[in-house]
Amino acid sequence: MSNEEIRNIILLSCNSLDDHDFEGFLNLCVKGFKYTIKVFSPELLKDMVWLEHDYEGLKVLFEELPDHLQRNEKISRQLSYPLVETSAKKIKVTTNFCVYKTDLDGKSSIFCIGNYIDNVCYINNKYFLKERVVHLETRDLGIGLHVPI
Amino acid sequence: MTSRDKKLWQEMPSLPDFNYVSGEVYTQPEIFKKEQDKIFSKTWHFVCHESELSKLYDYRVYDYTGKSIFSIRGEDGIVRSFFNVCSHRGAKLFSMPSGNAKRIKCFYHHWMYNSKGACTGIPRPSAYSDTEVKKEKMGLREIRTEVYLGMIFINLSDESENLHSYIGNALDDLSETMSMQPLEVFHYNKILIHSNWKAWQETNMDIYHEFMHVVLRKTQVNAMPMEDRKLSIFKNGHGGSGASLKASYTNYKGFANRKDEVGPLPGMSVSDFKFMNIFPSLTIIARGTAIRIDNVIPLTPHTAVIEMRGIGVMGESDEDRRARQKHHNQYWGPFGRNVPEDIIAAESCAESYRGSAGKYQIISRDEDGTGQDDIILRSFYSEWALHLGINPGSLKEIK
Repeated sequence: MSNEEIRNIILLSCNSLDDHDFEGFLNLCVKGFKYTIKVFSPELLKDMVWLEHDYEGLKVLFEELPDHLQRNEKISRQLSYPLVETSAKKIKVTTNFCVYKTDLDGKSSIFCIGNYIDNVCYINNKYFLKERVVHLETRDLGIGLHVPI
Repeated sequence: MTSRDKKLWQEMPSLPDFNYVSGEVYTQPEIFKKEQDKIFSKTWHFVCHESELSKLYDYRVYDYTGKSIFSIRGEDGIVRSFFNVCSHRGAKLFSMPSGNAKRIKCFYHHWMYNSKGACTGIPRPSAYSDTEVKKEKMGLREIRTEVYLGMIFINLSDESENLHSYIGNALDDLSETMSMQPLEVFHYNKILIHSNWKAWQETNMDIYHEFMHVVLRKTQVNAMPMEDRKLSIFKNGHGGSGASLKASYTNYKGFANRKDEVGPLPGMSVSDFKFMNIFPSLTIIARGTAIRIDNVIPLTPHTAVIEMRGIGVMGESDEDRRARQKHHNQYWGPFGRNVPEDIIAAESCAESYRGSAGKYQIISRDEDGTGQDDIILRSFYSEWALHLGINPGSLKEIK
């Protein structure tokens, strides 16, 4: 097992989403993949779930995207060095992110910050994403986003 | 001729009053100021759901008309609201958006207040002994607060009609859905939009814009005959559809399983869809299994904050809550299918009017109060005109 290969999975998953290579993203995930975006609300004093999908749900979401109205902004995910924690039961990877958006005039601004808690598994000599929980710090996302973070 | 020159472009549309709106109602600072004084300082404003103040001394802080305000459930169970301002030197009493406080202590000089707004303590008061500065006279500024269907409203005016009278019958068709079971807020987010507040509110009243959303094109436009839809307007500028519209969720691939995932809210089937706008800035949308309450708060002529709440059933199972959250998020969450598209529309129109490229907007669709009639928009602007004394199309004073 190589931590570098594990980190590469995280980087590749973000590059795939940045490039709208959704098939490429799903190829990095096992079929039982689960994806959740969680946000703590200081107004409600509790966690909220803003998006929750399994592998099939994400696949459908990606298929429907071309028909949706979206603003033409480029989304870029910048990552911290992923922290890999390996135990007998699982491989946990924690990565802080800052997501930028760049508009058609070339102006970049921060879209959101937060971290990924990824659960990675090792199958047939390859690493795959088993679960991703996104913890968002940013709660005002402007127009929002049709694509998972 | 198919295009229009400058003169033609600037001509007022040959339409009856309230069938078109000048782009300047979205941009003029004088109109914005009048709206603040004549609408937002005198009409009822939704501030939070009662589940956000479920325990004694729970409080919620929010901004409205540039003022920081808090609502608190007092020791007698009654919700009251006050300016979030210490009577002494004006420091804000609460800095967090919510919490629980049996005693309210100003951080600056430790003046104390109770949940009824009375001043209960002034450190070293003897220095004020020869003046009017006494606890009995230093209470907080209270704001009228009333509750309707679990929704807490405030009114900055002490003279306006009471909340029940103001709402009238507008929420009758949502009454069963919002009162038969205790409800609670499971989703809250705020969004700063670069648009006049009315351009946002129009997205909640303009049912013709269904065509913009692929979800609505697939699930809603053909779900029932257009002529069977019934749009309603009420006194004080409220309007929507309380008689259920229908949505065929199976027509959108990602929503196909909705009917199997969680039961409907009282008084609705999973495929029912009701919405009601309460003038000026509140919208309640119930989609079979979940409710959205949104509230737009003007900041400047060109910016506003939208507050979004998702509402579910209090005490429901984790499985039901998860499904209800999912249904809410599918349409209305920041990663949902519809709300991001609505914001794009509001900001796009605002940009046109800001630069005066957009001159008039047309709200003259007439389908006898069915289908995609603009009747709700016309009712809104008729009410707006009553408050401001200005015709929204010609911008002339109304005598």
